[in-house]
Amino acid sequence: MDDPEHEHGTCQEALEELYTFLDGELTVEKREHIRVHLDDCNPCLEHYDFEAELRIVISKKCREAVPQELKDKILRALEEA
Amino acid sequence: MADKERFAELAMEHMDSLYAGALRMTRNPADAEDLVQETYLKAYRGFAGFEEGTNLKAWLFRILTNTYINRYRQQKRRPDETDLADVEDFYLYRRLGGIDEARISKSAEDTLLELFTDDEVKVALESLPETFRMAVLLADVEGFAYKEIAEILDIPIGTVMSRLHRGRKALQKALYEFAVERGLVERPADDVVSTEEPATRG
Repeated sequence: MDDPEHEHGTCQEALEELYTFLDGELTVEKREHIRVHLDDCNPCLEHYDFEAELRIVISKKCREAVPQELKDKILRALEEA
Repeated sequence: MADKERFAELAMEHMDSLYAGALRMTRNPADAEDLVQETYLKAYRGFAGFEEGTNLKAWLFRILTNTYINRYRQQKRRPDETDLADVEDFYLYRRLGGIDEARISKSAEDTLLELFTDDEVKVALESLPETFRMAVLLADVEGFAYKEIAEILDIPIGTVMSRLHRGRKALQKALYEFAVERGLVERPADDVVSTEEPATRG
Protein backbone atom coordinates (compact mmCIF):
# COMPACT_ATOMS: atom_id res chain seq x y z
CA MET A 1 0.00 0.00 0.00
CA ASP A 2 3.05 2.29 -0.05
CA ASP A 3 3.03 2.58 -3.77
CA PRO A 4 0.66 5.45 -4.66
CA GLU A 5 0.48 4.41 -8.31
CA HIS A 6 -0.62 0.96 -7.36
CA GLU A 7 -3.06 2.34 -4.84
CA HIS A 8 -4.61 4.64 -7.39
CA GLY A 9 -5.04 1.76 -9.81
CA THR A 10 -6.84 -0.26 -7.15
CA CYS A 11 -9.18 2.65 -6.37
CA GLN A 12 -10.13 2.89 -9.99
CA GLU A 13 -10.70 -0.83 -10.17
CA ALA A 14 -12.81 -0.68 -7.01
CA LEU A 15 -15.02 2.00 -8.52
CA GLU A 16 -15.33 0.16 -11.81
CA GLU A 17 -16.52 -2.92 -9.96
CA LEU A 18 -18.71 -1.08 -7.45
CA TYR A 19 -22.05 -2.16 -8.87
CA THR A 20 -20.99 -5.67 -9.75
CA PHE A 21 -19.77 -5.95 -6.16
CA LEU A 22 -23.03 -4.66 -4.70
CA ASP A 23 -24.97 -6.84 -7.11
CA GLY A 24 -23.12 -9.86 -5.74
CA GLU A 25 -21.89 -10.74 -9.21
CA LEU A 26 -18.12 -10.80 -8.68
CA THR A 27 -16.03 -13.92 -8.40
CA VAL A 28 -14.96 -14.83 -4.88
CA GLU A 29 -11.35 -13.83 -5.61
CA LYS A 30 -12.24 -10.47 -7.06
CA ARG A 31 -14.66 -9.78 -4.26
CA GLU A 32 -12.00 -10.57 -1.69
CA HIS A 33 -9.49 -8.39 -3.54
CA ILE A 34 -11.86 -5.45 -3.30
CA ARG A 35 -12.78 -6.13 0.27
CA VAL A 36 -9.11 -5.98 1.21
CA HIS A 37 -8.82 -2.67 -0.60
CA LEU A 38 -11.88 -1.27 1.17
CA ASP A 39 -10.38 -2.16 4.53
CA ASP A 40 -7.51 0.15 3.70
CA CYS A 41 -9.11 2.89 1.68
CA ASN A 42 -11.55 5.21 3.37
CA PRO A 43 -12.60 7.23 0.31
CA CYS A 44 -13.56 4.05 -1.56
CA LEU A 45 -15.28 2.63 1.51
CA GLU A 46 -17.34 5.79 1.90
CA HIS A 47 -18.37 5.65 -1.71
CA TYR A 48 -19.34 1.98 -1.40
CA ASP A 49 -21.34 2.73 1.74
CA PHE A 50 -23.18 5.53 0.01
CA GLU A 51 -24.19 3.37 -2.94
CA ALA A 52 -25.12 0.48 -0.67
CA GLU A 53 -27.31 2.71 1.44
CA LEU A 54 -28.92 4.20 -1.65
CA ARG A 55 -29.77 0.68 -2.77
CA ILE A 56 -31.43 -0.07 0.55
CA VAL A 57 -33.37 3.20 0.46
CA ILE A 58 -34.63 2.51 -3.06
CA SER A 59 -35.80 -0.99 -2.30
CA LYS A 60 -37.35 -0.05 1.03
CA LYS A 61 -39.23 2.94 -0.32
CA CYS A 62 -40.63 1.12 -3.31
CA ARG A 63 -42.39 -1.53 -1.25
CA GLU A 64 -46.14 -1.93 -1.56
CA ALA A 65 -48.74 -3.98 0.20
CA VAL A 66 -51.20 -5.60 -2.14
CA PRO A 67 -54.76 -4.49 -1.27
CA GLN A 68 -56.65 -7.19 0.59
CA GLU A 69 -59.56 -6.91 -1.87
CA LEU A 70 -57.22 -7.80 -4.73
CA LYS A 71 -55.83 -10.75 -2.83
CA ASP A 72 -59.35 -12.03 -2.15
CA LYS A 73 -60.37 -11.43 -5.73
CA ILE A 74 -57.42 -13.40 -7.07
CA LEU A 75 -58.01 -16.25 -4.65
CA ARG A 76 -61.63 -16.40 -5.76
CA ALA A 77 -60.59 -16.31 -9.42
CA LEU A 78 -58.19 -19.18 -8.78
CA GLU A 79 -60.97 -21.17 -7.16
CA GLU A 80 -63.06 -20.78 -10.27
CA ALA A 81 -60.21 -21.33 -12.71
CA MET B 1 -57.32 -29.90 -6.57
CA ALA B 2 -54.01 -30.34 -4.83
CA ASP B 3 -52.18 -28.54 -7.59
CA LYS B 4 -54.31 -25.47 -7.05
CA GLU B 5 -53.66 -25.43 -3.33
CA ARG B 6 -49.98 -25.93 -3.91
CA PHE B 7 -49.89 -23.00 -6.33
CA ALA B 8 -51.70 -20.68 -3.93
CA GLU B 9 -49.50 -21.79 -1.07
CA LEU B 10 -46.30 -21.03 -2.97
CA ALA B 11 -47.29 -18.05 -5.06
CA MET B 12 -49.38 -15.89 -2.74
CA GLU B 13 -46.41 -14.76 -0.67
CA HIS B 14 -44.90 -13.03 -3.71
CA MET B 15 -47.97 -10.95 -4.43
CA ASP B 16 -46.72 -7.80 -2.66
CA SER B 17 -43.62 -7.80 -4.85
CA LEU B 18 -45.58 -8.48 -8.02
CA TYR B 19 -48.03 -5.74 -7.16
CA ALA B 20 -45.19 -3.27 -6.49
CA GLY B 21 -43.63 -4.20 -9.82
CA ALA B 22 -46.95 -3.84 -11.60
CA LEU B 23 -47.47 -0.39 -10.05
CA ARG B 24 -44.06 0.82 -11.15
CA MET B 25 -44.65 -0.45 -14.66
CA THR B 26 -48.23 0.70 -15.22
CA ARG B 27 -48.01 3.74 -12.92
CA ASN B 28 -51.68 3.24 -12.24
CA PRO B 29 -53.34 1.20 -9.46
CA ALA B 30 -56.28 -0.03 -11.54
CA ASP B 31 -54.02 -1.31 -14.32
CA ALA B 32 -51.61 -2.75 -11.76
CA GLU B 33 -54.42 -4.75 -10.17
CA ASP B 34 -55.52 -6.11 -13.54
CA LEU B 35 -51.95 -6.97 -14.41
CA VAL B 36 -51.35 -8.86 -11.17
CA GLN B 37 -54.59 -10.75 -11.49
CA GLU B 38 -53.87 -11.73 -15.07
CA THR B 39 -50.36 -12.77 -14.08
CA TYR B 40 -51.62 -15.06 -11.33
CA LEU B 41 -54.24 -16.65 -13.54
CA LYS B 42 -51.72 -17.28 -16.31
CA ALA B 43 -49.21 -18.59 -13.81
CA TYR B 44 -51.78 -20.93 -12.36
CA ARG B 45 -52.73 -22.26 -15.79
CA GLY B 46 -49.07 -22.74 -16.67
CA PHE B 47 -48.06 -24.03 -13.27
CA ALA B 48 -47.40 -27.52 -14.61
CA GLY B 49 -44.55 -25.99 -16.60
CA PHE B 50 -42.92 -24.56 -13.51
CA GLU B 51 -39.99 -26.56 -12.30
CA GLU B 52 -40.23 -26.85 -8.55
CA GLY B 53 -37.04 -25.89 -6.80
CA THR B 54 -36.33 -23.11 -9.27
CA ASN B 55 -37.11 -19.51 -8.47
CA LEU B 56 -40.88 -19.10 -8.41
CA LYS B 57 -40.72 -15.36 -7.89
CA ALA B 58 -38.53 -14.96 -11.01
CA TRP B 59 -40.95 -17.14 -12.93
CA LEU B 60 -43.88 -14.99 -11.82
CA PHE B 61 -42.03 -11.82 -12.77
CA ARG B 62 -41.34 -13.24 -16.20
CA ILE B 63 -45.06 -13.77 -16.70
CA LEU B 64 -45.78 -10.30 -15.32
CA THR B 65 -43.36 -8.53 -17.66
CA ASN B 66 -44.50 -10.52 -20.69
CA THR B 67 -48.11 -9.77 -19.90
CA TYR B 68 -47.29 -6.13 -19.38
CA ILE B 69 -45.43 -5.90 -22.68
CA ASN B 70 -48.21 -7.60 -24.61
CA ARG B 71 -51.01 -5.63 -23.05
CA TYR B 72 -49.71 -2.20 -22.42
CA ARG B 73 -47.00 -1.72 -24.96
CA GLN B 74 -48.81 -2.40 -28.18
CA GLN B 75 -48.92 1.23 -29.26
CA LYS B 76 -45.23 1.70 -28.78
CA ARG B 77 -43.28 1.70 -32.01
CA ARG B 78 -39.71 2.45 -31.25
CA PRO B 79 -37.49 1.41 -28.39
CA ASP B 80 -37.12 4.17 -25.87
CA GLU B 81 -33.37 3.89 -25.35
CA THR B 82 -32.91 7.22 -27.04
CA ASP B 83 -35.19 8.92 -24.52
CA LEU B 84 -32.56 8.53 -21.85
CA ALA B 85 -30.00 11.31 -21.65
CA ASP B 86 -26.48 10.24 -20.94
CA VAL B 87 -25.59 10.96 -17.34
CA GLU B 88 -22.17 10.86 -15.73
CA ASP B 89 -21.22 7.94 -13.48
CA PHE B 90 -21.98 8.13 -9.75
CA TYR B 91 -24.12 11.19 -10.33
CA LEU B 92 -25.59 11.31 -6.84
CA TYR B 93 -22.46 10.47 -4.88
CA ARG B 94 -20.57 13.24 -6.61
CA ARG B 95 -23.17 15.71 -5.43
CA LEU B 96 -24.38 14.31 -2.13
CA GLY B 97 -21.55 12.09 -0.99
CA GLY B 98 -19.81 13.27 2.15
CA ILE B 99 -22.25 16.07 2.91
CA ASP B 100 -24.34 14.04 5.34
CA GLU B 101 -22.40 15.08 8.39
CA ALA B 102 -22.00 18.66 7.32
CA ARG B 103 -25.55 19.49 6.36
CA ILE B 104 -27.89 17.21 8.20
CA SER B 105 -28.18 16.53 11.87
CA LYS B 106 -27.65 12.89 11.54
CA SER B 107 -28.74 10.04 13.65
CA ALA B 108 -28.16 6.54 12.43
CA GLU B 109 -31.62 6.43 10.93
CA ASP B 110 -31.69 9.93 9.61
CA THR B 111 -29.25 10.11 6.75
CA LEU B 112 -29.63 12.28 3.72
CA LEU B 113 -30.78 9.39 1.59
CA GLU B 114 -33.47 8.54 4.12
CA LEU B 115 -34.90 12.01 3.68
CA PHE B 116 -36.26 11.10 0.29
CA THR B 117 -39.94 10.29 0.64
CA ASP B 118 -41.42 7.04 -0.60
CA ASP B 119 -43.22 8.96 -3.29
CA GLU B 120 -40.09 10.68 -4.52
CA VAL B 121 -38.25 7.41 -4.90
CA LYS B 122 -41.23 5.82 -6.65
CA VAL B 123 -41.70 8.76 -9.00
CA ALA B 124 -37.97 8.83 -9.76
CA LEU B 125 -38.04 5.17 -10.68
CA GLU B 126 -41.21 5.58 -12.69
CA SER B 127 -39.65 8.43 -14.61
CA LEU B 128 -37.21 6.03 -16.29
CA PRO B 129 -37.98 4.79 -19.78
CA GLU B 130 -39.65 1.42 -19.57
CA THR B 131 -36.78 -0.88 -20.55
CA PHE B 132 -34.46 0.73 -18.01
CA ARG B 133 -37.15 0.88 -15.37
CA MET B 134 -37.73 -2.86 -15.58
CA ALA B 135 -34.05 -3.69 -15.25
CA VAL B 136 -33.51 -1.35 -12.29
CA LEU B 137 -36.68 -2.54 -10.60
CA LEU B 138 -35.70 -6.18 -10.90
CA ALA B 139 -32.16 -5.59 -9.65
CA ASP B 140 -32.42 -2.83 -7.08
CA VAL B 141 -35.90 -3.32 -5.69
CA GLU B 142 -36.30 -7.08 -6.05
CA GLY B 143 -32.66 -8.10 -5.82
CA PHE B 144 -32.64 -10.52 -8.74
CA ALA B 145 -29.29 -11.71 -10.12
CA TYR B 146 -28.18 -10.66 -13.62
CA LYS B 147 -28.88 -14.13 -14.92
CA GLU B 148 -32.40 -14.12 -13.52
CA ILE B 149 -33.08 -10.67 -14.98
CA ALA B 150 -31.77 -11.87 -18.33
CA GLU B 151 -34.25 -14.74 -18.20
CA ILE B 152 -37.15 -12.63 -16.99
CA LEU B 153 -36.66 -10.03 -19.73
CA ASP B 154 -35.38 -12.49 -22.30
CA ILE B 155 -32.29 -10.44 -23.10
CA PRO B 156 -28.55 -11.21 -22.91
CA ILE B 157 -26.70 -10.60 -19.64
CA GLY B 158 -24.61 -7.89 -21.30
CA THR B 159 -27.79 -6.01 -22.13
CA VAL B 160 -28.97 -6.38 -18.54
CA MET B 161 -25.74 -4.80 -17.35
CA SER B 162 -25.83 -1.91 -19.75
CA ARG B 163 -29.48 -1.17 -18.98
CA LEU B 164 -28.70 -1.23 -15.28
CA HIS B 165 -25.73 1.02 -15.78
CA ARG B 166 -27.66 3.67 -17.67
CA GLY B 167 -30.86 3.25 -15.72
CA ARG B 168 -29.19 3.66 -12.34
CA LYS B 169 -27.46 6.83 -13.41
CA ALA B 170 -30.73 8.28 -14.65
CA LEU B 171 -32.45 7.28 -11.42
CA GLN B 172 -29.76 9.04 -9.42
CA LYS B 173 -30.20 12.16 -11.48
CA ALA B 174 -33.95 12.13 -10.92
CA LEU B 175 -33.41 11.75 -7.16
CA TYR B 176 -30.93 14.59 -7.16
CA GLU B 177 -33.47 16.86 -8.81
CA PHE B 178 -35.90 16.08 -5.96
CA ALA B 179 -33.20 16.85 -3.39
CA VAL B 180 -32.54 20.23 -5.00
CA GLU B 181 -36.23 21.00 -5.44
CA ARG B 182 -36.94 20.34 -1.79
CA GLY B 183 -33.94 22.30 -0.60
CA LEU B 184 -32.24 19.26 0.92
CA VAL B 185 -29.16 20.37 -0.95
CA GLU B 186 -28.21 23.45 -2.87
CA ARG B 187 -27.14 23.04 -6.42
CA PRO B 188 -23.57 24.31 -6.50
CA ALA B 189 -23.09 27.26 -8.83
CA ASP B 190 -20.57 25.31 -10.84
CA ASP B 191 -22.75 22.25 -11.25
CA VAL B 192 -23.14 22.35 -14.95
CA VAL B 193 -26.24 20.46 -15.89
CA SER B 194 -24.47 18.73 -18.70
CA THR B 195 -24.04 15.21 -19.89
CA GLU B 196 -20.28 15.34 -20.19
CA GLU B 197 -17.84 13.54 -17.98
CA PRO B 198 -16.01 15.97 -15.74
CA ALA B 199 -12.42 16.41 -16.89
CA THR B 200 -11.06 15.78 -13.42
CA ARG B 201 -11.58 12.03 -13.46
CA GLY B 202 -8.75 9.56 -13.93
